[in-house]
Amino acid sequence: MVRTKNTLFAAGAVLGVSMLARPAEAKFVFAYNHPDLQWYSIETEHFVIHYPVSKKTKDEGNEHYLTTEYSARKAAEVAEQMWEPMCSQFNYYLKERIHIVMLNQSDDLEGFTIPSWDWIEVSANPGGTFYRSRGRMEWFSDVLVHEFAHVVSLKANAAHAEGAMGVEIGGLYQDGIHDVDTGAQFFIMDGDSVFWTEGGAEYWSDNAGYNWWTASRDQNIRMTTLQDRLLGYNEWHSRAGKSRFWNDHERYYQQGYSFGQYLRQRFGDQAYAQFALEYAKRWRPQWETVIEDVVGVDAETLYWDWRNYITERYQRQYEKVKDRGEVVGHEVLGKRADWEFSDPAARDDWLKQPRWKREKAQEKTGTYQWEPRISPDGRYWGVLNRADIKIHRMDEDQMFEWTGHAPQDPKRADESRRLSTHFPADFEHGWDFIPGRDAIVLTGREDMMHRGEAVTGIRFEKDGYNWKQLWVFEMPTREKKEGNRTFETRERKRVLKGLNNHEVYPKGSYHAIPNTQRGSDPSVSPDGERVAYLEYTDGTMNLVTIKLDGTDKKYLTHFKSGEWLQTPDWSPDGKKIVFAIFKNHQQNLYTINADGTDLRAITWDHWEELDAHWDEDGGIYFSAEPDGIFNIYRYDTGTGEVRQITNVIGGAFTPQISPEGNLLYTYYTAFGWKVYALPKEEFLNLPADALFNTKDIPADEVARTIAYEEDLSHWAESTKKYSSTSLMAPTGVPMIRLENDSRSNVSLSAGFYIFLQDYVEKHGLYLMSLLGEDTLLMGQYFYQGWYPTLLATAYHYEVKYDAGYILDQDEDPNTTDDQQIFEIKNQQYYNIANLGGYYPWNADFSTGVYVSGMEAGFKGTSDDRWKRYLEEVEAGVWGEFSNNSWFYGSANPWFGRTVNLTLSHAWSDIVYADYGGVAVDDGQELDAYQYNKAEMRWTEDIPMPTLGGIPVLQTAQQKHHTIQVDLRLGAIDRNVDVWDEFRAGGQHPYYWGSGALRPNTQFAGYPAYSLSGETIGILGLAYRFPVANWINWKVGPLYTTGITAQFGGTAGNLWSFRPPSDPSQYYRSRYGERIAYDPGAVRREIPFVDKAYKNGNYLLYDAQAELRVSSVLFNGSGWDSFLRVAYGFNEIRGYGDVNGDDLYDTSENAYNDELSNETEKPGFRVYIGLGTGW
Amino acid sequence: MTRKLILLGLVVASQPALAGGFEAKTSRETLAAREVERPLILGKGWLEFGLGTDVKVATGEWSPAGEPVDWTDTTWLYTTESVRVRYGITRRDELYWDFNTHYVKLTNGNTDEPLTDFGLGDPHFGYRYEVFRSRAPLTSIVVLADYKAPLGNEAPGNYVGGPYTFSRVVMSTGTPDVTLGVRGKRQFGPVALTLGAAYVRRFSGIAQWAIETEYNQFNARVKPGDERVVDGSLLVQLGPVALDGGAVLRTRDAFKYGNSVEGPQPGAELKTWEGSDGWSLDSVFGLTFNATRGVDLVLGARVPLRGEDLQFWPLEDVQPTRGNTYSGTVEFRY
Repeated sequence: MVRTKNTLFAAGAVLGVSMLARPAEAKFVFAYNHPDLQWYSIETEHFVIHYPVSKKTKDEGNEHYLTTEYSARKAAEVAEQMWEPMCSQFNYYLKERIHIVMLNQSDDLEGFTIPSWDWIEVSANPGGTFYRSRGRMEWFSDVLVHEFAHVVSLKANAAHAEGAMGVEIGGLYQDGIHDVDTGAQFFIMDGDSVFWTEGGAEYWSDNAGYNWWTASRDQNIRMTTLQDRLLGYNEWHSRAGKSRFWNDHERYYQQGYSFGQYLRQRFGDQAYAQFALEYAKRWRPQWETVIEDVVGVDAETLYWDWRNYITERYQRQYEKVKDRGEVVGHEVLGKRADWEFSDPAARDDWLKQPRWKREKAQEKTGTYQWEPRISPDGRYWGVLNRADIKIHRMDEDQMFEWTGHAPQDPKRADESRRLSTHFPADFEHGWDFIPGRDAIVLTGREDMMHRGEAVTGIRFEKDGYNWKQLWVFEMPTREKKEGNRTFETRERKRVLKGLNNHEVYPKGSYHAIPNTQRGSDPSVSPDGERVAYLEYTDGTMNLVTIKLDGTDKKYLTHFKSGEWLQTPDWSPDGKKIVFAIFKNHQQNLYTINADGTDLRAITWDHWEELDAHWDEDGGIYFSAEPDGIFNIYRYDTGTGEVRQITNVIGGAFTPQISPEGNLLYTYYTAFGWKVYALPKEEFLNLPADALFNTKDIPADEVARTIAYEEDLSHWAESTKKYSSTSLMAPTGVPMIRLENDSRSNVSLSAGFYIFLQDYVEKHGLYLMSLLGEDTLLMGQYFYQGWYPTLLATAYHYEVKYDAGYILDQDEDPNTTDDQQIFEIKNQQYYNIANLGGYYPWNADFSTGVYVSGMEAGFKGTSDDRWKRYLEEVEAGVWGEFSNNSWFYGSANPWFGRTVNLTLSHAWSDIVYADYGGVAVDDGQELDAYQYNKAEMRWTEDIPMPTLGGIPVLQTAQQKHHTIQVDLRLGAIDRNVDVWDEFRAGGQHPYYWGSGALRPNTQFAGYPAYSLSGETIGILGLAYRFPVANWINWKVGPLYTTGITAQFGGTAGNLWSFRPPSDPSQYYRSRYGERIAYDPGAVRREIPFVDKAYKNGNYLLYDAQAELRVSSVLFNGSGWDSFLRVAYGFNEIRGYGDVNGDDLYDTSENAYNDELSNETEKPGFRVYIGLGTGW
Repeated sequence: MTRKLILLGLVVASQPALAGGFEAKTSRETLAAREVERPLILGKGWLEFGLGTDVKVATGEWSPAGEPVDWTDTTWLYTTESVRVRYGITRRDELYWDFNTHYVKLTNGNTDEPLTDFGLGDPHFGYRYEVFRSRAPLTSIVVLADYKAPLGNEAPGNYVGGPYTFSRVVMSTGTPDVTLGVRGKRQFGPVALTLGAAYVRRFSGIAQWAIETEYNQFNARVKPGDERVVDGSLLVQLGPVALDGGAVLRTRDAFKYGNSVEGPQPGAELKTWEGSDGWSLDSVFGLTFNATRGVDLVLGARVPLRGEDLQFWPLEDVQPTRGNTYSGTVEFRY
């Protein structure tokens, strides 16, 4: 019997057990499990609505008490109302009931569906940016109906059966002789164009009567058109098309919606829906070809006609604005922007830049700058910019945008810079200065200033709740010395905390206001004592006031029926509060006394009034869109007179008036929400009474509207406790895979994976079956009803493989005439069972524990049964920190850090009877043994450093040139069998999935799994940059968006234990392996000092170059490809078929050791992946 | 335990409406109630499980001259237990998987005890694409591709001492096959005619059951002969019962064996086992009971009529024995 010591090391063998301790499918929407919630279900004729309620009440001390009963009942009502109008548009009446899961655990907007699972998830709380994008709030129609439109349209559109999301076909051929690994992968799926999917969902919702084309949507598409940012024809089919620039994701929705309206005018109501029915007749690689089949005009011709039509329409609208006199002011930049050129040369300079550069430049000044505020004493102004409140000293006479000239006083400018500061906040929803103090109140999050990060940089989350909450931040100053000068500054001291450089907020300078969870939009009373804010609960908002210390909380409103409120502001005398209420499809401004009495509407019309600011001058400044464009208006509280202040083509919001009477506001452009300033001299200041109803307000109708509560109590009868037997439709993906284990042994296997879970994701099951000559069976159950997710995984892998042997009669490899080649076929298997648990501490950090049992064995020609080789039990803990895992599948992750650490203890027993139950490894006979293992992988993606601002490096950083550092360290505390050792060598992503090799650069110059040892130390460096990142090529169903290049190299090695070399200290086994008489004579190699005896090198080096091409097929199936060429500089040895020629050299060992005679010479290795990712 | 099971049953029964994910989908195609009206693909959205068994009892073989040869004291019982999964991917195509096990019993006067074995067989998976269909009356024409993967046991176990000392029965050739075929079905009222033709390309491979004799520890490369298959049957629908009868003609090229060679065709220089080609003509009979749209019961029999062979190894997938085969399958559809 030829001993083939572990020559085959198939993919299954290196599937680390800690990986098995993580779920094959993570939760789709919930980040955390919530055992504190009891779920209920409302059954309707066509739907089942599941919703959570806290098990413990507020009175029982539950500070995160929540109920979703109202929202669920309202959802049931709306769902039944919309069912028929939606289905009728497609003449597709669903037989299956759709399950709607109402979420209320977080304060973030969720709207999500997988139509084939009959599953919709919608948050009761619409969260952050929604109303700014879409306009007045009807979140059940805007989100729930939108998602249901997806369900009906995509089911009607499905050419594939709903039980299969697509078919995966792929293969990998590894040519060990020429060192070329070629993989290809296709996921054949339905490929609807995104503009139709998302825009259609908006359009059909509109047709169904629950959604409409608001001024906010019009604003989006208007500015997108006028500022030349429409998604191009190639771009709008796929989300990969152009979603890296600001608001492009929203353009898919609004362009598609607008296109639907255009088609309605030309081809009637049904055309958009007919595309679905046409596609379902037969699968086609290009979905958009259905358009011509339905309406007789090809898609691209229609696109351009629609584009010309809306361009003309919006240009006419802009002409009207200009005819009246455009009053917009300027973006607060302290200078004129490059695109506000004032002469032909400057214009030419601007226009000669490529489009993407111009877009970037215009976005760079800020994209989400909301809610400017001016302190009552006029000393500060600030703005909320992407969850960061920036406060500036305000000297009105120094404000370029108001004065029209640059700041004249450099001393004050310098002082202003030093006294500017910033604070963390929620993404939006308000903040305010505290009168009489250098302090602000802001909308933050409960865990925003968590202490846990002080040590590790990792913020711990214990219960999964991180609701909004109001915070107070002081703005203290400190003295700072520079040279001989001492300054007052608000610049904070910085310390290295954990892994990051953090600012230190002085102790006592901030605190959360107790009892303000789920609060937002704070406004501080003129006396600085109380804060008015909006409190969310169960799909509804109420107006509340509270003292800054969290006491004396008063509810000014007592709404329960989905009322949505907006931006309160105190009257200058502190006696009243103005705010907006959206109820009964109507949003108006109201005032209420500070004690909660005398709620009255001050506008009563069908416009969307919002962002009220009650100024010292007695006017209430607000935003509204009576002519279709949001502008700033002033309502005189004394006379009821309204005057228009701005006259813009974009949209004007959140007005603030300075002590001098100038205006600061938020302006909507196609490049972001910007802060604009308008001097009072330029106010339009025209009467607008005719546009608003402020004087003839029907008090009775207002009172009835406010008092109305929809009776949804009838849904109580059809409500029951949720049952986990409420299972989703199982979904599978058929798979066909072609692989080879030797030159001539190519095997095809086929099977499928199936995913099944209950609707609120407590129980999940993932099954995978691949049968063929090589067989893989895997099952994973996960339970998510407790804080850590519990996992049980079973895995069986078996493979048949061929191997060739050279039998050399004279044992001299130099004489070949006497050599004969024989082949042998063997089988190998692994069985692994794993129990584990993991917990995500936050979005970046997870930990887990596991215990795993494994057995592996062989079966040869003469074996009656499988023969076990190894039995092993392993227990371990792992932790992973990654703040960039979300884009590891992208071609160029350009920042972030991923750190994995696994610590384990294992009990191994060699039980292979043919070897007498022992194995020889590194000069030692091994039977049963225990070992500890520690392994760390640290990958740092570093944006190109500018080294103090070197221009070429700055450009490189802007273009996302990235340096990647990858460190892998590991140690096993004793000599172990080679099966338990670390392995290294180049990898092809086909085995692992796109983006799973994090990163892919490690030792690509050496064969996969060719290096082994008990100590591993490898450092990889790579330099990566986009070659072309907006190339927009579409050829048939293949759409290519970018090319990225990467150059790098690896250095390191794996060290093992070394048998004694003195013949007096060892004897040889019957297979010729050295065995030390004294195990103590087996010496551990010292990393970086010893030459690794298994591969004959101190250190190994490689260099590599790679091109990555980012593409999608069928509009949505990722098809990322790459070509990697690597060069290994060292000749290596090892076990078995080292040179990859499928032949094992069994002649007398030329090196007088137990390793192979073969060597892998220095040389190139090529990896090709077509659609495999990288 | 009984009480627990009853309670569990009640819990499940009390929640039927909530198990919505398993409700029939609107997108699922309609499926004819009767066999005679059904096309040769399953239909979009349908999932079918077929649980079946074949029992073959052979007491002889076909000689190279085409004569039936009865064994003197040998009986070969060869059963196949199968699970067939079919899934209608789109309106025009389906995927299917066959998982097989075999129970084998060889009774022979040369051995004291019968040799019995049970193990995995070779799975098949395939794809059918309907190139044409008309309804009322039905015409359905499909092309198909099928792959047989050599998963089953191919190790003979302890073979030293000759073929009568094998401790395991080989249930796989150890080599893969690809079948390409076309099938058509035409309905004439309650009668349907089905015709099919296929070519089976059998690839060469190293097989554990093929052992070189120099060192007795290495394996040889084998290539079963390619096959051509034509078949036809007539089906008559009588209420929920469909009766069918027809014939299958199969011809097979000679078996090859030897060593691998370099290059893209490692089996290019294999030696031919003279006389190992053959053919067979079998008659087939069937009864299908369409209990509901979701459940069918299928019974069948296959009787050899004529043949020509060289029997050298009891490996049904290489050299089939001569014997009647009886089969029964229950098909569940969802």
